[in-house]
Amino acid sequence: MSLPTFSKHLKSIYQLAMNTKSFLAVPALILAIIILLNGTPLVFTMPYDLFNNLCPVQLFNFVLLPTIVAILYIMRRGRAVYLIDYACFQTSPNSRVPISAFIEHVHHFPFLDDRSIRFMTRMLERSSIGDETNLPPSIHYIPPLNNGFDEARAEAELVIFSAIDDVFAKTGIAPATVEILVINCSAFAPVPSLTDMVVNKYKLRSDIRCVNLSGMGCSVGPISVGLAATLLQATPHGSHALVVSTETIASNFYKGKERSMQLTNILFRMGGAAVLLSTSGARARFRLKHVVRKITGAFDDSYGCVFQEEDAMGNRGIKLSKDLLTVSGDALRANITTIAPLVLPLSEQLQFASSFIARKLLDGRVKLYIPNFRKAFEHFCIHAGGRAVIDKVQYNLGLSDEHVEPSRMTLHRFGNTSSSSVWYELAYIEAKGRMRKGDRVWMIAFGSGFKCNSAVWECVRPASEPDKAWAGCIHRYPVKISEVIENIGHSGKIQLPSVDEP
Amino acid sequence: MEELTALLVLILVVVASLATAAAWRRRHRSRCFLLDYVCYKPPDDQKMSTETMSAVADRSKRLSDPVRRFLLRVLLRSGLGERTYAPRTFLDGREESPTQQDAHDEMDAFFHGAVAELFERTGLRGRDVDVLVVNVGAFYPAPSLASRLVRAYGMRDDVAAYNLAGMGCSAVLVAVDVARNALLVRGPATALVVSAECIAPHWYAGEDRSLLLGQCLFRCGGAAALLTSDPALRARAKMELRCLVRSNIAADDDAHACAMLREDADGRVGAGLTKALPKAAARAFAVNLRALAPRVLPVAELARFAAAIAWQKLLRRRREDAAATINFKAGADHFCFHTGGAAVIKAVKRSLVLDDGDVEPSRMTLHRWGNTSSSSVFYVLSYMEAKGRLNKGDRVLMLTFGSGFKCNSCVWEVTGDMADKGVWVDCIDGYPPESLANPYMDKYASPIHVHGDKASDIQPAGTDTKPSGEKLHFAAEPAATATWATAGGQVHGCPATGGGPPHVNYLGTDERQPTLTLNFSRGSGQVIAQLVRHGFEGYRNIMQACRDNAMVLEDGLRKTSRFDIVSKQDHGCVPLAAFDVSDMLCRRFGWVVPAYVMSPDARRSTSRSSASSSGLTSPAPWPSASFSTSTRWCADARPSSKLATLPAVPTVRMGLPTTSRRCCRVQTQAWNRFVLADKNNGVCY
Repeated sequence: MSLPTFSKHLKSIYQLAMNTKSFLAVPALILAIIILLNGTPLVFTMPYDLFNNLCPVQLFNFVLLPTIVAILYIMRRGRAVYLIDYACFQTSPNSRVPISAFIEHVHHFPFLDDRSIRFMTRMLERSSIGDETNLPPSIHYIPPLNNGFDEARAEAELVIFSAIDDVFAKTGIAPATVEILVINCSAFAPVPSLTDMVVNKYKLRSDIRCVNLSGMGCSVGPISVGLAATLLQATPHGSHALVVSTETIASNFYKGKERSMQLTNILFRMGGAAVLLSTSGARARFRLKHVVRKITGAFDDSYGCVFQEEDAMGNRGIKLSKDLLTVSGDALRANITTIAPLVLPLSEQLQFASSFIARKLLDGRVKLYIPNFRKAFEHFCIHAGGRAVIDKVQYNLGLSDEHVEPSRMTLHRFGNTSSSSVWYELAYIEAKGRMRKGDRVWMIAFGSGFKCNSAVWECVRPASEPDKAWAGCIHRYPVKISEVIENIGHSGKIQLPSVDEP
Repeated sequence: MEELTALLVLILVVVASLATAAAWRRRHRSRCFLLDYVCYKPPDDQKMSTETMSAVADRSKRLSDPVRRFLLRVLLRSGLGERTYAPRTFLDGREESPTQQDAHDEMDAFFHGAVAELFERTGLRGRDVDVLVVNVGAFYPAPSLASRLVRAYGMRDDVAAYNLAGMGCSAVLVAVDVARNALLVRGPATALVVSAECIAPHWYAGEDRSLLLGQCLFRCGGAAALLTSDPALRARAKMELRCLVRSNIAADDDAHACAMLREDADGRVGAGLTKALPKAAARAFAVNLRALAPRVLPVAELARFAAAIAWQKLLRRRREDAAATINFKAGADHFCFHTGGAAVIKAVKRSLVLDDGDVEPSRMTLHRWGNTSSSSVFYVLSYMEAKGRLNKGDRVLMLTFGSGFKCNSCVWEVTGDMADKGVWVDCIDGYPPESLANPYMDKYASPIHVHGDKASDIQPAGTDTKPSGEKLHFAAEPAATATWATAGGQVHGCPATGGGPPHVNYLGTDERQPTLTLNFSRGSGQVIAQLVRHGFEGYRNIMQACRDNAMVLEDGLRKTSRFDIVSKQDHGCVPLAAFDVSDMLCRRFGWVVPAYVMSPDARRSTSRSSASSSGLTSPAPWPSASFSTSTRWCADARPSSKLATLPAVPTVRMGLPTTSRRCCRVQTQAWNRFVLADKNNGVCY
C-alpha cells in the first residue's frame, strides 16, 4: 500500500471515528458503568455503607441530575425558529429586459457617450446575466424616469405585495396572526415605511412589532431572518413572523458616465422574497440553525468598497471599488471562522485547529487548512452578486460546479436581486427536487458595509411543488453559461477591470 | 429510613435552588438598563431664528408671496423658539441642492458630538458594544450609517448592527425595542442606540402647503443611548426599562396616509401632513394606552377606573358629558412626550388629564430644540434631569407618535443618580421663560391679509402660543365683526382677512379664526328693515356695536402700518380704510375689489365701483389710499362683458385658479347652508 493511499484510508477511518455519534457516547457509557459498579459517589459525599444500602436513591440521583441539567440547558437555549414557507416574487414577461434590448436602450440614453455604451455592452456580455431578467417599468422609458419617488413606491408595492400574497396563499395562514414584520429594502425607505404599507394593505394587527431595515445592502437577508428570530424569542409560542427581502431599482438607476457606478445598472434587477417564520414546528419546512453575521466596516477599504455618492456631475450612484473581491474574501473568512466550529464535523475541526496552531507556531509558514464545508452542508446558496463573486467563493470553499449551480442559474434568470437572491437560489434547489429531509443549507450573502452574513437551515420537509418564480422555466435549467455572449452590440477595445458586484 | 428522607429532602432542596437560580438569572438577563444617554447640541452657528428662516424663505425663488407668508405664519405659531438648529445647507443657501456629502456631514457631526461623548462619559469603547441600532428616518446611504459608526469607533466584526429607516418620529422606541430583544438573546451585553433625523436632504422647495408644514417644525438633533443587561454595569445605570408597548394602526387608511412622504404635482418630494393626523394620533394613542395601562397602573387605580366606567354605563343618559378619566399620574411621575408640535402636546395633555407642569418639559424642549423627530423624547428626559426632578424610584413615561401611524410608549424607572445638566447645561436656568410667544410676531404676523385670494390660505390650527400685543385684541373680535357686517348690509370694499379655513367667508367663521370685515356703507333698504324689525333701540344697539368694532379695527389697522386711515378724525367718526388696486385693469374701471374670500366661481360676489355707489351713506368721502403690496388675485379679475354693461353695478367675475376649485366648492356649500339656515324673511342676522 502506497503512502498516499494509506493516508487516505487512515483519514477516512479517522473521520468515521470522529464523526459518528458513538465517538462521545462510548467513553461516556464506559464511565457510567465504572461509576455504577464502583459506587464512587460523584456528587454527594456520603458514607460508603449508607451508599450501599440506598441503591435506589443513587439511581434516582443519576436519573434526576441529568434531567435537571437537561432542563436547565433547554431553558438557557433559545427557542427553535422554523420557516413555514417562503415565496419569491414572480417576474412578469412585460417588464423583461433582454440583453439586446438593454443595449438598444442604452444607445438612446442622452447621458451616455459611446465609450460608456461600449463599456456597458462589454460588461453585459460578460456578466452571465440572461435574457429574462426584469427591470421596473419606470426604467423601460427612454430615458428612464427621473428617480421618481412614486415610481419607486409602485415598484416596492408590486414586488412586496406579490411575494406576500404568494406566501399567504401557500401557507394558508391568516394575516392577522402575524405578530412580527421585518422588511429590508436597501435603497428606498419612504415615510410611512414599507412595513406600515404592508400593515395597511393586509390589515395586520395593531400590536404588530415591525422593523424596517434600510441601507444595509445585499447581505441583509440573513440579518432580517436573524432579527425576526430574535424578536420571536419574546412572543408566545406559535407566533408568526413575516420577513420580506427586496430592493427597488427605480430609485437608484445611475445616470452618469462614471464606470464604477454604471456596474450597478448592469447587474441589479427586480426581485424580492417573503418568508414566514414561526416558533412552532407544525407545518414547518426548515429549521433555522444558525445566523452568523460579520461586519468588517472597521477597516476603511472595507467600508468604502461599495459606496453611494455623487459623481462629478452630481448624479448619485453606487460606486464599486476594485478591492471588492479582496474585501469580500476577508469578510467571508471572518464569517467562516465563526461558523466553522458551529457546523463542521469534529474531524474537520481538529484538522483546522491543528493547522491553525501549527501556523501560529511556525510563523505562518504552514498553509491554513481550508475545512471541507461539503461535509457540513448539502446545499449552498451563495449570493448571486455577479460572476466573479460566485467564482471566488467557489474557489475559496472548494465547491463543485453543482454546488454553485443555483447561484449561477439565479444570476442568469433573475440577475442580482440583492438581498432576495439567496431565496431564489433556495427555490431553485427545491424546484430541481434536490432537497431532502435533513439536508443542511448554507446561505451566504455579501454586501456593502462590508458585511458577510450567513444562515444555516435544516430541511424538515421539502417543497411539494416548485416555487412560482421558477415554475415556468425550471425545465430549461441548468443552462450552459458561456464566458462571453458574442454578437450583441459593438465589440469594444477597452480593457476592462474584472469588477463584480456583491 | 431517616437518612433516606434526609437525602430526598436534600435533593429536592438542591433542585429547587437550582431552578430558582436559573429563573433568577433568566429574569436578570431580561432586565434592560439605560446606562447613560447624550443628546446632541449642534454648533452655535447653526442656529435658526425666525429672521433666518424668513430670509431663507425669501431667498427661495420658487415660493410665491402667499406661500412664503404661510410658511412664516406656521413658524410663528409653531411654538419653536429662536435657538433651534438647522443644517448648514439651509444657512449656506444650498438647501435646494444638497449633496450626499452634506447629509453625511450632518450625521458625522452628530456622531462626533453625541456618540463620542457618550463613550467618554461611560468609559466604554467601541469594542464593548455588542448591539448597535441606528435609526435615522430619511437618510439611508450605502453602506449604512450603522457601518459608518462601526468604522468610526472601531467596533467588533460580530456586532449586531441594525439600520432602521423610514419609521418616523416614533422610531426611537422601535430602536430601543430591537436593542432590548437583541440583548435578551445575547446574555450580558451592551447596546448602543442612536436616533437622529437628517434634515439636510429634505428641504421641500415646492408650493404645496401640506408639504411645507414639516419644513417649519423639523430641526437638527439626535440622541445616543447605551442600554445594557450586564450585571457588572448595573450599578452605574441611570434607569431601568420597565415595559415597552408598541402600537401601529396603519391598517386604517386615513391614519396610514396622514403623514406621508409624497411627490407634489411637480415631482418634488416633501412630507405631507393631512387633516386626519390629530384623529389618527388620538386613535393610536388610545390603542397604545389600552395595552399600557394594565402594565403600569396600580391595581387601585384600575379598579377605580373600572368602577367609574361601570357607574357611567349605569347613568349614561343622565351624565353624558362627564367621561370617565384614568389617572396616569398614579402610574408615572414624569412624562416625556414627543415634541411633534404645540398642538400634539396640548392634545396629549388633554387626553391624559395632565396639568401644565407635566407637559412643561416637552413644551420647553419644543421651544429650545424644535421637533428633532425621534430623538426629542431624550431631550425632554434631559430637561427633567437637568432640573433635578428625577429621583430614585421615579417612573418616567415616554410617549412617541409618528408616521405609519404608530404610537409607542415605554416606562423607565430611575435606579441611579440623575443630576447631569446634559445638553441643557447653558440654558436650563432660562427655562421656563416668561413667554413662549415668538418675539417676531409683530414683525411677521399681519392679521389682515389682503391677499386672501385663495381659500386654502390656512393658518395652522390649534397652536396655543398667544400672540402678544395689540394684535391679540384686534384679532379677538370675530363674532362682533360678523354681526356688524351682517347688520350693515351691503359690503363695499372690505379688506378682510383671508386667514381662515376654506369654509370661512366674509360673513362667518368658526370660533378660532377671525374674519374681519370693514364696512363703510349700508343700503337704505336694510336700514329700514333693521329699524322695522328691531325698533329704534335695537337699531341703535346694532349701530353702536358696529361703531365700537370699527374703533377696534381702526386701531388694529393703524398698527399694521400698512393702511392709511383716510378719515382723519381720531375716533370721531366711523373710520375708513380704503385701498387702491395697482392692477391696471381694475384701476381703469375705477373699481375697488372686495378682498374677502370669494365664493365659488364668484357668482355671488359683486364688486362695485366706488364712484357709482351713489347710495353711500358713509360720513367720509372715498379717496383712494395706496396700499403697498400687490393683490395677486386682482390680476385674475376679469370684467364679465355681459354684466359689465349693467349701469352702476358692474360685476367682476373672478377667474379663480383651478387649483382652488375644490376649496371653493366646499365653500359654496358652506355658504349655501349658512344662508339658508339663517335666512329669515329676507333678513340676514
